[in-house]
Amino acid sequence: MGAAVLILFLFSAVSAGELPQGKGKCLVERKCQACHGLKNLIESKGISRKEWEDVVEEMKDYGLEVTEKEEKEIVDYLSKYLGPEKERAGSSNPR
Amino acid sequence: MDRRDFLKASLFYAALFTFGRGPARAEAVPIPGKDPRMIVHSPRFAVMETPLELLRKYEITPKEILFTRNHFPIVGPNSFMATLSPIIDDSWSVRVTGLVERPGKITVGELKKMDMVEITCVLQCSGNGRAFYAKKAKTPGTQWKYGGMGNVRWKGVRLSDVLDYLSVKPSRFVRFITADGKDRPLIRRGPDFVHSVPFHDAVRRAILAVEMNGEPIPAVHGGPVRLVIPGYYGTMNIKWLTEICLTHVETPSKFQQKAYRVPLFPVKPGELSPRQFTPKNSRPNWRMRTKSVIFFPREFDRVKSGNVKVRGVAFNDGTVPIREVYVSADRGNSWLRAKIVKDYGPYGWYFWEADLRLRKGKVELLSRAIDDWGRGQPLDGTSRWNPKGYEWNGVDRVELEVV
Repeated sequence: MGAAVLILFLFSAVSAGELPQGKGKCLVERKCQACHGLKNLIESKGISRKEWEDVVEEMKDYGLEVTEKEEKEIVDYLSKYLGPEKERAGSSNPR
Repeated sequence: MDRRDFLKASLFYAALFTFGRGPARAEAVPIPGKDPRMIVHSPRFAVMETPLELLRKYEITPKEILFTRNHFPIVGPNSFMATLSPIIDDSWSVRVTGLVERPGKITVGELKKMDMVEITCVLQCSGNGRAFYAKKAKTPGTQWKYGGMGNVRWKGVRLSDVLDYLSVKPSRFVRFITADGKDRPLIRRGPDFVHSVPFHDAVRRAILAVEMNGEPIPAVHGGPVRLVIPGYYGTMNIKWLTEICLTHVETPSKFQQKAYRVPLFPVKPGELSPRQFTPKNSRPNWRMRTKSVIFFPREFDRVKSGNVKVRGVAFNDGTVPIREVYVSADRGNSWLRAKIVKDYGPYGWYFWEADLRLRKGKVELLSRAIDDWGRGQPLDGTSRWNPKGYEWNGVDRVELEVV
């Protein structure tokens, strides 16, 4: 069992290093990684809030199950930390 | 899952996520046998791009460097695909169903005994070049540059021969073939990866391929049998083929209705979301747009001033041949006609060369292909910007520092 705990620790340590810290990070990791790696998100870094909204909507078509509150938290996180430069800089005033 | 399986699974996922870290880190390829220099876009889906330095070395793209793109994680029920080895199974069968008098099925063993044809064609992801749309506005998804394509030699049985062999007798209402493969979603509500293509075209072009580059098709590339539709974007070439359904309408799968589509008219960023796609405002990524790529020289080559042989490839959907390729060294003010030196038939790469005299300093090289129907490449590829960044075919551009 010790080995399994160690592996799980490594697993979480590795994935924790992927995305910027912020509100919603855990939720994004949990929901998005049900299907794909975080690299898919990181490659799309720089798209607008509207586009992140579309992406999350689209993912619902592919089986993502989220409440309205969770959806907002995920979109808030993605557009704040993986949005265009100016939105990331001016993140105190999210649209 | 027992303890041993749990440990194995944990190790596997730990490895996957380790490999999935930032792009600067050297990554292990998720498919053993693939060249370690492949660009790994998604380890969990085994999405890999061929670096241009490797792509240009071969006229026929070897399996070790051919790009891969999957739609579901390569684990669990999809783990069969995670190898470069072939799946040897003559009992594997493909069902032919739908609007037919007599549904049937054909095995790989039967296919192997039938007359086969060999076709060389460009296999290209419809997202190849997506990264270049970012000049206008970045589009979500894998940021492919050049290496989401390859020139591949397939061998297989014509779809038309399979339909005759099985005496399925399609109804006159058949308008599409809808193909499905063995891969499947891992989550409860996920749509299956299924695509529809026009029947009239598929029946002329498509083959049920059992060999790739002279060998049984590697599992990761869709063996033991793959639907190959020459001239169509890669996504339509269904891997691990299990069913061809003859239908009157396109599949409702999200992969056909919302993804792998482009609007029928120019759109500005933010104007139309992929969720608003309908058959009336968009079309699937079917036949490939005319395109050329400069293979040499590239940004990473050291080029000396004087005579330089510029080389590259061109291709289209194979409906009519590539007629001309032009290159420019003065930002498109003047164009020199390149010589097409070799081709692999209507669907493969056309190799071209042009002798240019380059002076010291910064230079931008451009290439542009035109086919017999006059279908070419836009000078500014971003004029074809679309919400999901598909079908890039802008004039190719290389910025060089000639020494």
